[in-house]
Amino acid sequence: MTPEEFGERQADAALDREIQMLFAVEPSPQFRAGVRVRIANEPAAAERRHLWWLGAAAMTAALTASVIFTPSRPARQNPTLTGRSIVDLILPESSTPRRLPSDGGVPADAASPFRRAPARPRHTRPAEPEILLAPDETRALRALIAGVHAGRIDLTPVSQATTPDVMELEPIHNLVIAPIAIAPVEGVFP
Amino acid sequence: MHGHVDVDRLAGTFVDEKAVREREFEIRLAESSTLAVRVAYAVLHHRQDAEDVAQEAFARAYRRFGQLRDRERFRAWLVRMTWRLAIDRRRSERRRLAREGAHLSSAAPASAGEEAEANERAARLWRAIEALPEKLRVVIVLANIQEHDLADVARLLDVPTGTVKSRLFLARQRLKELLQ
Repeated sequence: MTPEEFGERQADAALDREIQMLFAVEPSPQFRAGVRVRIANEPAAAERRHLWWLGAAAMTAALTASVIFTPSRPARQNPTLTGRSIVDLILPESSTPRRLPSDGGVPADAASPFRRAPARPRHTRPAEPEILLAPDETRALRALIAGVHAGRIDLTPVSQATTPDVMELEPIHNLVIAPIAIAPVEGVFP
Repeated sequence: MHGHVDVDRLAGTFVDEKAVREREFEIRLAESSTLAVRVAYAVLHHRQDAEDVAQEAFARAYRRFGQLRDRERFRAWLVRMTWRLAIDRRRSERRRLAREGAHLSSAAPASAGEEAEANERAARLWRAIEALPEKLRVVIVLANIQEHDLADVARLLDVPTGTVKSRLFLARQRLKELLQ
């Protein structure tokens, strides 16, 4: 061991002694009793934790159910006519006449040895008749459902509200209708 | 008779099992209290807070004691949990700790003498340890608590001994630089 290494070790040992003195705290005599008290108080806290988890699970189940049973359809995109003629939109691709470039050259895709098959539009008939709702109404309904699930909206007053009954009229028994007497107009007929 | 369960005997088994478990935990608590308190103290620099955090770590360990019956596993888990809880506590009470840090640096008596010099040296050492990266800090703390050797620290941190050795070397170098 060189003198430098020896000096280094001495310095390390001195530093370690200083740090050991710094951390030399002992637990107080009440420490273990405090742990026991905490453990004894655990059941109540554990119960509260379980209740919290139960509530969270119920909320998750409700949200999942709402997601599953809420009809969601992809937003329809209206075709825009910018840059395309109405003929392109109405007629299938094969029937539209191929336009030549303005400079009269070869079409861009003619150079390709492979012709890409035109994409066949998928027409999947929905099993049920499609219910069309305005996007605003859909958003409002979803917001309402989410609000009810989240507890922000309380529908109890609505469900408990009494709707006014149809007004029932008293049966009319003694209805007397006087005969209508029409007097002849004098001077019109001889 | 087939299918007959001796309820009393079964209940007795559970009671015995619980008693054994309680006894084991009591042993772990007795032998690891100092370790937990010192680990927390190394982070918090505050005795009462350190005890509080260590007690919380023990309470959590009790909850999971079924998986922590092995002594080494228990101690390693306890050290990690205590360290983590202490870090969380320090973050949440940074303002108060800043005040106490100021108190610590001004704790040195105004009169000249060996005590004042020792206090000043201790305050500088605290600050230097505080300035270390967490990986180096935890190694230097554990290596200087209860005279743990490299293998002990490696077991507590669940890292190879060589890693502990290199981190300890780096930590000492940094501390010496900071204290110069």
